[in-house]
Amino acid sequence: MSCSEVNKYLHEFMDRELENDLYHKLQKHLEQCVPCNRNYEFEKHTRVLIKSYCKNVTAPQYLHSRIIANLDSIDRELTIQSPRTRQKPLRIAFSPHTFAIAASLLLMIAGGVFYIANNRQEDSVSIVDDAVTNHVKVLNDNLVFNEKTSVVGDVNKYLSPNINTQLRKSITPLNIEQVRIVNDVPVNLCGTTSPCVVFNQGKNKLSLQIIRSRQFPISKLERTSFGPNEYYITNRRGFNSVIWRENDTTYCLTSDINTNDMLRFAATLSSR
Amino acid sequence: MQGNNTRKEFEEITMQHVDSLYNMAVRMSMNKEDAEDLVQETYLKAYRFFDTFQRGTNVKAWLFKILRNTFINKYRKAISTPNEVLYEDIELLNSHISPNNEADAKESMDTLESRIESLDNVLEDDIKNAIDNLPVEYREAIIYSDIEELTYKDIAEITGVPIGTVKSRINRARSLLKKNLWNYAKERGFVKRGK
Repeated sequence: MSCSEVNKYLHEFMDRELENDLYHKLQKHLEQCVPCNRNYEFEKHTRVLIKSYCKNVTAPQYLHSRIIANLDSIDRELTIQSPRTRQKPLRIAFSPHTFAIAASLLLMIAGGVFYIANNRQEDSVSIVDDAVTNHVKVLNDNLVFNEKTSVVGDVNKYLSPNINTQLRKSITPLNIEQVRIVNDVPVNLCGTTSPCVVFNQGKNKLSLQIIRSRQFPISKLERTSFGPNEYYITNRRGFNSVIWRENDTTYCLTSDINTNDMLRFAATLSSR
Repeated sequence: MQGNNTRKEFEEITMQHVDSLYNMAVRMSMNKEDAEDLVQETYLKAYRFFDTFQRGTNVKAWLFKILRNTFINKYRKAISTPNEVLYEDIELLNSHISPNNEADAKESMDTLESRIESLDNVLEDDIKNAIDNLPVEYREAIIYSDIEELTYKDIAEITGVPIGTVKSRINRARSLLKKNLWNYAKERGFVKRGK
């Protein structure tokens, strides 16, 4: 191996990213070549210097306790939220009525199990949870931010006039097929109910999805009025969702900004 | 949903990385308060989406991913855009290096001794400045590779660019960093100062 090759691969060698063969060749060269070895030592020295400086920077102790406190509050929030989904079928199973009709008891339990296992999307908490997961996935590609592949730039043309007053040039209605064909427009369908269109609103991102489930129990969510319209708001995993119905379609807007701002934005999307 | 065990597991595997994340957050945001917020938010998101973490993969890389994403979303700093430019850059750099290699090597040999000596004169502030003056995508590359010792694969995963780009970015970052350090050392004129 020549000195210039060593020079070329030195960093990969130090990062332990070289194949065994090359690694050993380089190692051997370094043992024998004084100038290359010196260069290697210099590189090592620089790294040690940088590393020792950065390792000196440690998080203040109160940051640890704040994080723990945050986790505690999520735990509390989740224990409040999650039993709600499961209590219902249980209560049905153990209510006096079920004892009266023994045959239907069995049916109902079987049915209930089937319901939970296969129709996860049919209760509001799960649907919104899916919407939030979609939101995060689409925005962040499983928490990796990738602007090129996740944000719809010119969303106007994919929205129908009836859900949009601000973006006037709308021609085609929002639906899976429309959104999918456009190769450069990366609207993802993340394994659940609908495609997810992402809006850039200032520095925030909001995603709009259509909830296709007709049985979506929207009325179980907290209701609020904003302008002439009615909206339902809910929170999953720290993300807010604003949900509304329009011409038989249920829209779900998700973001991590506060609900008032979201309502305002939702109002610009929905028709007057 | 998040039982006691999940919480325990989460703390066990993530809490040891607070310092690493904090250091990165400081280097990215250049500000301690922002860095604290960023780290807090990272842990909040990580816990909320812990069910999406693939067991057996590098949890530190996963946390860095969330931190990076949080940072970009929050501060709208564009990292990792000019890929093509970067490649050209590297090509240029390489073509420059290979023919002149011998000369370069000679030159560096002459000064190497003094360079090693001189690095001892570099102050903590110089190191800080040398890192912080790097363009942001080089800065993060240096931290992921030289300080956190993540693999190229993990870094590619975090930053969402191909491994080749990661490699060239890291190399470019290192040579820039060394140049910066070397300049500081020269400015100090090899005079030792108390730390």
